[in-house]
Amino acid sequence: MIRYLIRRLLWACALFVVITIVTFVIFFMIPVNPAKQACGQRATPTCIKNTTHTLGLDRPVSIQYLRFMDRLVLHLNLGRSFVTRQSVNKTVLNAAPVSASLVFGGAIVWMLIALPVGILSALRPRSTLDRTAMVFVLIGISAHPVWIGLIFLYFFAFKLGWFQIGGYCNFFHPVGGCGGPVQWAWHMVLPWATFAILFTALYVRMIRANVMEASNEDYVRTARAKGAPEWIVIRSHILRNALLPVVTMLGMDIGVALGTAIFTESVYGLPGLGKTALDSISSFDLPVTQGIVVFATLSIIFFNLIVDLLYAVIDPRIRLT
Amino acid sequence: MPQQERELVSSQAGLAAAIAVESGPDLGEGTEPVKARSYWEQVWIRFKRDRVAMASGIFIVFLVLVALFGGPLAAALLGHGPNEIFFAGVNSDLLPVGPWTHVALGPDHPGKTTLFILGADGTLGRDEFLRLLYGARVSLEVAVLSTITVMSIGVTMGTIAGYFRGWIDTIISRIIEVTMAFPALLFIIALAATIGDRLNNFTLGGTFGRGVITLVMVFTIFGWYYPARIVRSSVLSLREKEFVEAARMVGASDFRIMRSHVLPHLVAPIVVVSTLIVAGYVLAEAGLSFLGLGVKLPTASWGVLLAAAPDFYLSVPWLMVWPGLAVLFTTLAFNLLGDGLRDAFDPRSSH
Repeated sequence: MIRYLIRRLLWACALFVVITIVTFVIFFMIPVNPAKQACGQRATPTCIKNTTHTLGLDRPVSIQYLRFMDRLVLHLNLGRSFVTRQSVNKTVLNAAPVSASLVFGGAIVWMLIALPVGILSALRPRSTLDRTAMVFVLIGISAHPVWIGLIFLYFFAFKLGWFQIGGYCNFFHPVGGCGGPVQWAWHMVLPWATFAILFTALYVRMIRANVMEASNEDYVRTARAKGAPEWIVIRSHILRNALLPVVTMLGMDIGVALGTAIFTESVYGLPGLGKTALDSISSFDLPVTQGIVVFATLSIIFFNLIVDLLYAVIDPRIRLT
Repeated sequence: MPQQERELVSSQAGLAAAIAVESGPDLGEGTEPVKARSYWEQVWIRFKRDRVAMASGIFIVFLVLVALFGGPLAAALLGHGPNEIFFAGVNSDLLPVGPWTHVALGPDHPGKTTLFILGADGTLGRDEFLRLLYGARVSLEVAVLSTITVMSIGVTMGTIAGYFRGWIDTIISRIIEVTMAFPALLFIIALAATIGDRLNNFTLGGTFGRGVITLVMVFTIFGWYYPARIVRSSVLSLREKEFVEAARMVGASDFRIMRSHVLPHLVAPIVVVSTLIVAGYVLAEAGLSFLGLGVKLPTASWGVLLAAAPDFYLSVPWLMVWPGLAVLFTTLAFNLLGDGLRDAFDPRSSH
């Protein structure tokens, strides 16, 4: 088991290096000179030359990459924005809680719906619940989150006036009369619903398929044949095996979604990581984009590692290999 | 139900049918000769019975026809083009005009009007209906081209990895793992915003709209791993089958075994997965074009049209309704068709 964990840790490090290198190479192909952007509207050739040198853009890519990694790994510093000169660490730390609220809140919503619905519809295939659930699953995977968001905003916020039309309220510090847990939750209801719809659909379908497959296994028949009570068969034989892959999926999806909940964030005007990345790319603000990509990659790797660790605990088969 | 019984006999494959045909005269005059049905005939029979899947299939055929010919036809009938700008397409409140409005042609043709069936698309006053029709072509182009490239690369990589195993499999599997760990949407945005500008000018001599090739490329880079994983795991078990062993024993080359003995078994999953990912790419195109990273103006696509909606959604809500419904119905149809095909190919998978 120790060897398994070390292998996963080493793989995580390798993954991180590969992904940062690729971002660097991609950004090096930017057709716009970032120094020109940093100099602003009245860019003089001297300013551009000086800035190019200060930003280290006149060095080879490999040196730039090593300097970036040196700063990142040894000083945990993501650099400064070309446009606002603000510390990227601060920008990322401001945006991360917004994305985290959206993603974790959304994950709770979709798991609360998907677990019971998925399990019940698998245990009673072709029942009314199952058929209704399958119709919703189809609509959920076919409707675009952006579109769902716009429709929700139109009906629930504009027509009915139940919610605010977009925007975000800080959980802790009130800014301009908008803050605190209640206001925060109030502003997040529609984004949570929008974000959760697609995942609810995917998870209901996945849980249902897994539970149905596990119900047909030989060990389930054996357990029933030995006279085990039905709820023990369901809990210990079916669900225990069927829900293992759900843990993997949940870890990966949360990791990926933290940096990439862009659609929901941009429809509701939430200043999360995805929205910030989108804004930074349109102004060719390389350090901010890169900072967010690094953060998103780290979150994906982190959550994958957590899943690996969890697996070592909940799946005895891993411990043996 | 005699028909079902008959199929039950024939689905026991050729042998039972052959016996039935040969012993036909002995069974007396009343028995009809039983016809052996090929695999594809059986799939088609099962598919025909699935009304939802048939309806989706017909809808998709209709959609493709509309995408190919609908735009130019409607433009010819209405007398204006999808990218033509009309001053009269915007009303006095600077809002796009509503559905079924007769719009003045302009100072060159005093007193003449042209019909905007679904109203105008924004402050430029272009015909939403025509742009929706032309957009269908662009959106489907992106989705279908991406699916073709994703499936070709994915199936090739998956087959090679699963068939050869060993170090080739290790390398391909590692690449797949890295691709899966990429924050793909961020990278797509980064790619579209950086090298996208150069790629956007690559339109194969104007065959495709600006941005179509870019989207196809980014979707391919981040999408090929999905079919590759499915194909790899199937090939891993297929390569151990007796018929592969037999082929190898007779001296068939690796390429021949892969092409003639392994791939034919994968036709069903490949068709099903292709149908389902077309739906995914219709959604993805709409999303990226909505963010301004996909298809470039003035070319219309459903995502581009949806992107105009937030500016007016409080006053002109139908701007989000039309492209949204177009995307919804299209993805719904492809998803339903995919599910139907899966059932038709493998009736045991009562999913």
